[in-house]
Amino acid sequence: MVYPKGTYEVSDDWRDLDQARHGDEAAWRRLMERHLSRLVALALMMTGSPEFAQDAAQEAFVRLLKANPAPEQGTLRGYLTTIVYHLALKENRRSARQQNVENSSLEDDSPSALESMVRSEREWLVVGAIRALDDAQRTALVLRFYGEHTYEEIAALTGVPLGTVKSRLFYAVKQCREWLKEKGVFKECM
Amino acid sequence: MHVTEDDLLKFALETCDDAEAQAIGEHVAACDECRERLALLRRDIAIIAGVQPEAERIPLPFRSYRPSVWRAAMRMAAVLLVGFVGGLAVSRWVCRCPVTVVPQYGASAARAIAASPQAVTPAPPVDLAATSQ
Repeated sequence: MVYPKGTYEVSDDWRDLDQARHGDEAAWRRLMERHLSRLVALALMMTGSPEFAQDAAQEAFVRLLKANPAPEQGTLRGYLTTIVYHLALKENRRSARQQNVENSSLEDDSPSALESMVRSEREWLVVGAIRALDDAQRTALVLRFYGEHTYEEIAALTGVPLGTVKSRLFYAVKQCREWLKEKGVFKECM
Repeated sequence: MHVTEDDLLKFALETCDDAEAQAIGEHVAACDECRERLALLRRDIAIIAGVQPEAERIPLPFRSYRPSVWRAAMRMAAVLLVGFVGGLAVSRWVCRCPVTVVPQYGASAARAIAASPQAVTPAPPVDLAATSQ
């Protein structure tokens, strides 16, 4: 992975889930510490709605407890991400407000709620850069960086060829870098 | 000849093929400038990938999802109770329909009885309902 996240063993997730199902609050907190913020970020980038992002991430954890998936089905990280991704897709379809690429300004996306959610102005700008991408590029970027999916998993999840996924991610990152350079986040963009 | 920006980005994102990755990797290892550019690129990617919004945690819905031996036992007890009550109701209904038993004898036994000077008339039918109360 290019962007190493917190290190932990995949088996830690399954152990903590089992303990949480038996009422272990500490195990439940560890699971949330490990995944909740990432899932909120994913849903936020996909929909632009801070309120939905919180609800979707929490819903994923509740569904995790109800379903109690087995380790043979994949990683717990992937399971949670897939739930949030599908919830976000459903929300985007259901939403009355069309997400326009050219007009994805943060002013349309509950700025006060968003500002209270992100930790810094830089993060706020990064969210804006990602929201400025077209749907396909944004999906590839979000699933890769925040879903922590492999390219093969993203291809399977989105139903597009592997090469297309890689190409979309490439252009997504390139565009984000240029956008953030204009905003002064990246001092130099080669 | 330095690596282009696009190729460095593909290398950083691990989207180039194996041959390209090997060639770029070898160049970067030997070129200070490209190595520094790659490091900046990776820093930028980490920033793009590093948004960590404040997230509201929810308490563990303990009662709903904890596998409960107690609940399983209660379920079993409920099944047994329903079965017992149901069986009792059926048995009481059956007892309201008396069954009359009439002893039947074979033909040869009937002739022997009839020929006997002390012929015995068949016992009257037994009302099981009356005897069970």
